[in-house]
Amino acid sequence: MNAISVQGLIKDYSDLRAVDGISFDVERGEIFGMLGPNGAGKTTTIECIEGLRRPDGGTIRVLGLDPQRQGYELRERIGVQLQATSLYERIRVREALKLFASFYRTRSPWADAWQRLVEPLGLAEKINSYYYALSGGQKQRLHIALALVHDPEIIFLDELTTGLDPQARRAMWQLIKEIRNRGKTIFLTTHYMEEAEHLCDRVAILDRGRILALDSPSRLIASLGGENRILFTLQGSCDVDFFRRIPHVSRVERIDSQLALYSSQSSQVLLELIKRADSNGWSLQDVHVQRATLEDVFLTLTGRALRE
Amino acid sequence: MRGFLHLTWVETKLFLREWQAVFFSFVLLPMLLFLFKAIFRHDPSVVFGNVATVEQMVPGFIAIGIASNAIYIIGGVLASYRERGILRRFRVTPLRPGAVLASQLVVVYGMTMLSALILMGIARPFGLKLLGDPLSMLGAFTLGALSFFSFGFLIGSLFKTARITYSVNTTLFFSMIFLSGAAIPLELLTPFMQNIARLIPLTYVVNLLRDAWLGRGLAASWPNIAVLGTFFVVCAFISSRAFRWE
Repeated sequence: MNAISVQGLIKDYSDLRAVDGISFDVERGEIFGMLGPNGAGKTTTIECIEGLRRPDGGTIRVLGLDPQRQGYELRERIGVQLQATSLYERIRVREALKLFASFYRTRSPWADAWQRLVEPLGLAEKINSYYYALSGGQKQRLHIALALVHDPEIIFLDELTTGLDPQARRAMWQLIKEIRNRGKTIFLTTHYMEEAEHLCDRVAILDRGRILALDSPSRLIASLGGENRILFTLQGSCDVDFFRRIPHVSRVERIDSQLALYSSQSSQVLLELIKRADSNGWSLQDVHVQRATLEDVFLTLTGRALRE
Repeated sequence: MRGFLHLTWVETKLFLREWQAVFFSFVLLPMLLFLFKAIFRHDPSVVFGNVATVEQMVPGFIAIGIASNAIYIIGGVLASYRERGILRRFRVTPLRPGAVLASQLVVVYGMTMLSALILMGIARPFGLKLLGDPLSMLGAFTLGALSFFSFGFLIGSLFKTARITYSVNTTLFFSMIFLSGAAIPLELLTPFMQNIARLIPLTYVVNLLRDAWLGRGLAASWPNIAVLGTFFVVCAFISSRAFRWE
């Protein structure tokens, strides 16, 4: 049985269709990510699966249970970190952990040693601190600890690293992978391309309420034909068609002030580019070659950049 | 059940960590009692039906305690929990929604009772003692508290943000304590204001507590009981309809 099975999910907000008939399965023991820009329908989807929102169409099964009709039974077995949430200002970290643990039938595996739960989250020193005295990142990590107190089978993380610095973000990825290695299933949403690429076993690319592609990050990138991207800035005006005529260039795009040439033979294109620039007396600046990323997959699928 | 008990314990600690609430319930009200005693002294007065003025004060102050906890704590806390997404976070756990409301009710009832007992204890050395029987007093206190707590839930359900709720609460609270006879004896008000006082629900809590305190018997106080019973049912009904978790 799949951990999560979604069939034809639809959710409307007054006149807007936030989720437009999406279907997918999440296997047990995988890190499944939903990648998309803000407003793509990621949070609506995750909250329908958690049972917080009632879908307008389609069916959802989580561990074989219906989140709407068997919600209490389901919530015993899932852990949730919500995107925008807070806690009592004057509760201590340890008190919050004990409080949330008391909501579940099963005894928390950390009940005798909360340190062991919060240590990997870097909160060991903060166990007696009040919630209001924690930094933004520490609060975020406490909410993840609260999602783990009852050792759930599936963990839902909505934008888990938003607001974290790059170092904390990498530490968080490591932690999530360790949780997955203990046999847990993880369902997360993100609008960070790097996060989806480094962390997820499979990624669904979501835009305007629809899934555009769903596969492992490496296969999604390979679907672009193994192309690299040559980025550079050119002083003065230029004709995009001029670059399109360079052999092996499959596509030319203008990204802000930069130009991007896509090619599976990037070194030959680079050589040719420098030669032609030299003979025309152009000055090329900030030239670099990038491996294709999920960002490019998104760009190819939608014609828009993920960050917009 | 374990979740409910634990939540009640945590809410008790959180109440005691809010120094404003603690100061008001356990320090300011007893201090005001001293102040009023100094102002009015202990003269039996014809105006108050041959009952010493300060004798009227203790039940009035207990009513203030009920109103303040109902309006500020229950009303304010629910609005702020909703705004901060705490209620929403609880909704993705197996905790029953009723447990959140019930634990709030239990904690605030207990704290209001404690503040009433402190007031009564402090009044004793001044010769202000309960003339009625303790059970009637407990009954009157409980009805007054429950009817006002349901009013607190109503306020907490109606307004979107804690900030709006706070403004509404302050307006309600001050008009109530001055126009209900809780702080100033109603007999001192003009007839017009006395008519307005009849529209203030807290007036009936003050009257009910005063009847129980002075040993007039709850039977004599049935109009107060009827008004508060109705008030409780109406507020509980509307707030159960209007309440939102997010």
